[in-house]
Amino acid sequence: MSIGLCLSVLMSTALGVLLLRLVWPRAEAVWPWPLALALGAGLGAGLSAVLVFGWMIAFGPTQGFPPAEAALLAVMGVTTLRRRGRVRIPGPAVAFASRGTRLHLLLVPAFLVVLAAAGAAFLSLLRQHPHGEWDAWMNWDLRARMFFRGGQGWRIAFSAAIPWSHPDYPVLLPSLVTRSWLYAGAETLLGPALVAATFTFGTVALLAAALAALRGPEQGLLAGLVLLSTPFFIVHGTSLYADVPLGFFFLATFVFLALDGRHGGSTSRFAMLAGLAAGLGMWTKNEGVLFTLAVGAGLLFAGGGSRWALRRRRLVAFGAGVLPLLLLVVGFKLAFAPPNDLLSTLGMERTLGRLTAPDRYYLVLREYGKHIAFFGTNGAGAAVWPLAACLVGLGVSRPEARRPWARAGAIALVLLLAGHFMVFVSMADELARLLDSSLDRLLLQLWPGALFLFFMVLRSPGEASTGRLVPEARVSA
Amino acid sequence: MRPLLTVVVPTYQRRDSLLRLLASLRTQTLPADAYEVIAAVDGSTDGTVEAVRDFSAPYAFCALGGPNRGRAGACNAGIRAAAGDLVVLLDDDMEASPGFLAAHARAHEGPVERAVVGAAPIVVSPASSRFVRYMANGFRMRLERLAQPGYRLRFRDVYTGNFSARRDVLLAAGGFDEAFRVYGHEDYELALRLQESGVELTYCADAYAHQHYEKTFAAFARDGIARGRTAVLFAGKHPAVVEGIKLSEYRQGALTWHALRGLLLQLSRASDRVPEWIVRLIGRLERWEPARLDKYYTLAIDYLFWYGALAARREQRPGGASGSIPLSARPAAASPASWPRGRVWLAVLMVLLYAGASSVRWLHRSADWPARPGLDEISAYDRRFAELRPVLPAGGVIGYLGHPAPTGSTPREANAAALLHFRRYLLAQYALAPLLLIESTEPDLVVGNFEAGAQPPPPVGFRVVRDFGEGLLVFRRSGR
Repeated sequence: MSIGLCLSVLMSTALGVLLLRLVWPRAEAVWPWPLALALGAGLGAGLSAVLVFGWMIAFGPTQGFPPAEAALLAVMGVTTLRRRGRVRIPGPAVAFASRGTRLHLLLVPAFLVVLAAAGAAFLSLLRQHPHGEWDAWMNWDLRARMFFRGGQGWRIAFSAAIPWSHPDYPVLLPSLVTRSWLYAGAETLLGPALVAATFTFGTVALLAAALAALRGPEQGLLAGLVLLSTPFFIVHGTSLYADVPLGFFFLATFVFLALDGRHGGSTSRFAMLAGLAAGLGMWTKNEGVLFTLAVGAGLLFAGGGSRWALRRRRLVAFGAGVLPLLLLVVGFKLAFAPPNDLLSTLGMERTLGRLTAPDRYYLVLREYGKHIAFFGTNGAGAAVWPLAACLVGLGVSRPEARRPWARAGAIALVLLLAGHFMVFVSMADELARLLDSSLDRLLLQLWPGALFLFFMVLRSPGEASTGRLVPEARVSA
Repeated sequence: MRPLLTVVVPTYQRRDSLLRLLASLRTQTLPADAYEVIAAVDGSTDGTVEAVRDFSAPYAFCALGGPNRGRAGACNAGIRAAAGDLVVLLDDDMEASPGFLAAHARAHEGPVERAVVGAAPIVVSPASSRFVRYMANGFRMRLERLAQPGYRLRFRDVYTGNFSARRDVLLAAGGFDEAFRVYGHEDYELALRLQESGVELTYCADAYAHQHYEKTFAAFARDGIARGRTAVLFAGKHPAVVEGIKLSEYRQGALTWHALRGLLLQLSRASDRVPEWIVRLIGRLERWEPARLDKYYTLAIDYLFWYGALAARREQRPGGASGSIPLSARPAAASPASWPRGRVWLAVLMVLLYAGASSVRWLHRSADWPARPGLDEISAYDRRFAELRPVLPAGGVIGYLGHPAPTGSTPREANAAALLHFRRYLLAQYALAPLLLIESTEPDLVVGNFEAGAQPPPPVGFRVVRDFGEGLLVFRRSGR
């Protein structure tokens, strides 16, 4: 069973890494393994979830899936080997930061200590609550059980008879859990736990690796420390909710957009991968749709000084990456999902009544302020304090802040917050309760991406103390 | 006959103000042939040249044209063209009192070589804006300080909007430094060189000219930023006296303002529009007229100064617009391209402190690891309902009967009881998936999940298929 579970993670990671290997521009032999592994783990898991869902539609949740996935992996591996050395993308290579300094020697052990402590807490919490929290068992794992135990009757998971389990929600997580059980050959609590660990620590690894590659190792370590130290992130990772995986895909979208920006417009592959990551977010939770729209709007309106043609290329490539997942989500909503319970509460008169109630705006605004100000509170205070200290102590790197992708990311985050604001105001019946139970989770989805954006535009300690830019910062977008 | 005194009026885009000033110079107590007036038009395009071309006055008057060179260049042109021994520099928004020129002439009597600063209070009328009142108040206090008996003027007390010195002294000093093309610090710079050459700086309250200050805050904001820029220029030319100007006062003032200003300046590095937002914000505040508006003016002006200063520092460095900026004069001299390392380390330590607090929390949470936890609630339910599976179908829909409807004594108790009932139903559904459990007795098969020892009779028309103990039963519709 354990071997099967380990194999499931290895196979999905290999799938993600091979996909990246196939599309990664290789003008120079630049292949940052930590970044590729972190991206590959999450992307591969997302793609595997899509594959297993497709398999279930075709054949049901049968044991034939693992061999089929292995066969696909073998084909991809052979293709990668055959294409190796022949793929050449014109234009500047992605430049990566050089090694760190003495500060590096302090931050590496600190990061390892916090990682070990967070890992211990993760295991301890999972041991106490192996089924996760409320949403995990009543929604995601319930659906996974229906898939796995249901055999050819697995579609009962989308029955409107149990509306409280949100059968209209996309099924990336239930598919992944089902996949892990298919690999293990039996239902085991280690399956969802492994999925949770992949996304929780994969998000930390992606944040640290991406920043280390693009802005220097110290930057990656600092951001990784802040994310690992955010109590809600680790606790919520063990709750087996979908917000942490969604946060991973939001972060991956930003990382690919940053890579696209670094590539100077000579390839559309990174923008396409950004679309793919955003699309996987759509397949994780309905909030992913809003995120994809917000990123699209950001790319449209935050071109900075870039030419319209470049902006259009980026947008089209992003859309092309989103498209397969968009079709999947639309197909799922039409063919499988019953109507959304939140949407079904909408009515013109009720909605107008909510929209014209000023106290609802005040309440949502107040809760926004409160939750943002106190987000990530631990014994030393909220997460805004170390970030404020970094802002004042290190300063902003103007060239980074002016990059179109950074502006697009910032616009996307603001639009997302504004979008959720209006959803709260216009849709929720029990507003105070809903804000209390879900606002922190919405912020958590944005947290890794927001940290990436923040540390990308922040000067690294090396830049701040020498006043010089690291070499890669001179690569224009 | 050579005039005793030449009034040099540098002017730019203020035709009407200039005409008001020229008219006020007609009524001087000094004879008209004792002075001349030169309007140094600094590339104005508002019709100033045309307006003064036909100006007739009892005194000798001429206008100098030319491209826009900044105030320093316009003043130098006027000084060079002056015929009088004494040059009076007078800004175009002034209105001279009748004894103005006579007072300047008297102030230079005696053996001591002097540069004289005259009084220039800002005129306030009932129609004056709040910002003009604010500026007038600030300037009045400055003049009161200069007028104190025994007060020795320093270079930073000098303004050359109402100022006089001997022409040959000004020329010997090299006149204004024309590198100061934008607003501010050209007068400090000249005053410093005059002082260093032995000229005594004095204040003459009788050399009185009204100042008609007409700028809005938005217009002043540009000057405020320019002042920051020229402060850096000044500091570069006179590093020895940088402690005497505002550029060395970054750390003075309230700590909260330091933090906010630091944040604003960091934001300004990311967006050039921050000063514009500040100006807009002040514009909004001016409409509301809060009691502390003067305070907000002071803070905004302070921010604009530092914005200009930091922008100038960035441009001075070989790397251009990025990198770090020294925020005070002292570290700047030691390490012009970097921030203090302590500041960087402080940021890192704050992150480590935050991480350390979480690590302690994590380790505390996992301290009970060796103790084997009991079966959690959901696993217990899973195990309990596993016994039911042999008597239930593999799929389909079955009914669910839970605890009786809650009748708590308070709404809170009723709510809690309802929530508990719902949770148990969800747990049953989770345990029995892929069967669908609906809270109804419509299906032929119904699962009963009651408190141990408090089980109600079977629903009407149902019989017990099997009692699993502790309130867990399976019912079937009779006759099926």
